[in-house]
Amino acid sequence: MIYLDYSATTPVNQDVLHSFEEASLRYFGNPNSLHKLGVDAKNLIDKSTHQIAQILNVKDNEIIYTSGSSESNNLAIKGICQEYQNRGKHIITTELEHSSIYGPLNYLMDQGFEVSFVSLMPDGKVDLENLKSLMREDTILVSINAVNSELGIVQPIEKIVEIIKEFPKCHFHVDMTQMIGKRKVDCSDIDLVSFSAHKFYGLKGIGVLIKKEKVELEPLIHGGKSTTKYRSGTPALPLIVSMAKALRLVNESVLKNEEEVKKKNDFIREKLSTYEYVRINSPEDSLPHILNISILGVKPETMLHALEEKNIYVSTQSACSSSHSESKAVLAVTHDKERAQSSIRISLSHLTTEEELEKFLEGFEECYQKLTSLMRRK
Amino acid sequence: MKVIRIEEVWCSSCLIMKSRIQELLKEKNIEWISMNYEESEKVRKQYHINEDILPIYIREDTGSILVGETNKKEILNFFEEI
Repeated sequence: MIYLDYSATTPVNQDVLHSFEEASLRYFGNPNSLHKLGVDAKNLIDKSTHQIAQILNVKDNEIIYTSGSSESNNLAIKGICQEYQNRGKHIITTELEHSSIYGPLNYLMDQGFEVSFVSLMPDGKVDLENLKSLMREDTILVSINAVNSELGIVQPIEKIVEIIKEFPKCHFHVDMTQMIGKRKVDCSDIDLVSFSAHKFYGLKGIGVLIKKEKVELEPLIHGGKSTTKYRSGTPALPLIVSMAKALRLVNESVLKNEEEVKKKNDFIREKLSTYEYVRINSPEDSLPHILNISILGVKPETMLHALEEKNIYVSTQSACSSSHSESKAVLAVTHDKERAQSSIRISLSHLTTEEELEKFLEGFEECYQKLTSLMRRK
Repeated sequence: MKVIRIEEVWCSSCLIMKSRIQELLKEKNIEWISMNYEESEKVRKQYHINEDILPIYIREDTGSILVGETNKKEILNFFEEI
C-alpha cells in the first residue's frame, strides 16, 4: 500500500498505541474520584497536560481536552460568540477553512451574527491590508487556519496577531489541525488554538482547544468541573496520555522531519511538473507535507479510483455538489475552474519512503496516460 | 417574499452567499424556508432543478432560481420585487 493521505489521517504510532493500552489497564480510576485510584489518574493527566503545554509554550490551565478539532472549533467559535455578543456580532474568516469552521459560522449567522471573508493574495495568504479594513469596533472574533488542508497554504499568523492586537475587544482563533506536529509552533500569543491527535500519529477521538487564561467561553458541554469548567465529562485519560506521547514523539524531530518531507515534496513536484496536463496548485512555500495538483480534464474521483486500483491512496476534496467536485480552495488561489474541477491532494509524511514515491510515480504515469489519452487524441 | 434556500451547514459557498445577501438586503423582509440537499429532493423536482451546486435559492412567487456563488448584480436582480 502506498499511503499518501496523511493530511486526512495518520496511522497510529505503535508506542502511542501501547501507552493507550497501558494507561487503560493501569490507570482506570476516575480522575474526579477522591481516593488514591482517582488521584493517581488525575496526576497522570496533569503530567500529560504539562508536557503538551510545554511543547506549545502555553500554561497548563490553558489546555482544554475535546473529542477533536471539530469540537474544538465549535467550542471556540460558538463559545466566544455566546460570551461576547454584547460587545459585537461581527466575525471575520477566510474561504480556506475546514467545514467544522463553516458549520458553527452558518449556525451563528442564523442567530443574527455577521460574517465577513477576508480577501486573499495570489499565493493564497490573507491580504493583511484587507483584514485591517474589515476590522470593526464590533468585531469579536477572527478565525483563520494556520495551514489550509487542501493546498497547504501557510498563513502569516504572527502578522495577523499584531493586527488583531490593535482591537482589544476582538479574539483570534487559529485552527492548527494541519500544522501541529509538522512544524514547530509557539501558541503563547494566540487566544484560541484547535488541533487533533489523529493528524500526528495519535488516536482518533481526542483533541485540544488551547484557551488563553484571560479569554472567557460559553461551554458547549455543561456539567461537572472535569479538568476544566469549559468542557465537562470524565476525562478520557488513555486518549489524553497517548496524545501527549504522540505529540512528544513528533516534536522530538520536528525540524529534521520537515526537512525530509521538503526533499520528498521537491522530488515529486519536479517529476509531476513535466506532465503536459498537470498543474501544481500548492504554492512553493506551502507546507511541504501537502501537494495539491490538477490533472486537467480528469475528474478527481476518476483519478483517485484509478490510483486506488494500484494500491495508491490520495485525497480529493468533498464538495457541496456530487457531480461537480470543485475545490473552493483551488479556485480561490488559481481562479481557474478547470483546475478546481480536476484537483487531487497528495499528502506526505516523514515516514514516506523513496520506494513509495517511486511506486507512486510509476502508478501515476500509467493512470495519467490512460485517463488523458482521449484528450491527446484530439 | 418567500424564498426557499437549499444549503448545507458546512458549505462555505452557502455561508458566503448568506453573508452577501445579508449585507445587500438588510431592509428586506424575506421569509426563508431552509432545507438541506437531501431534504430538497421533492422541491428540486417540483421546480425542475438539475443543478447540484449549492446554495440554491428559489423564489416561490416567480419560480426563478439562483444557483451557487453569484455577484451583487445577480443577487439584486433575483430579489427584485415584481
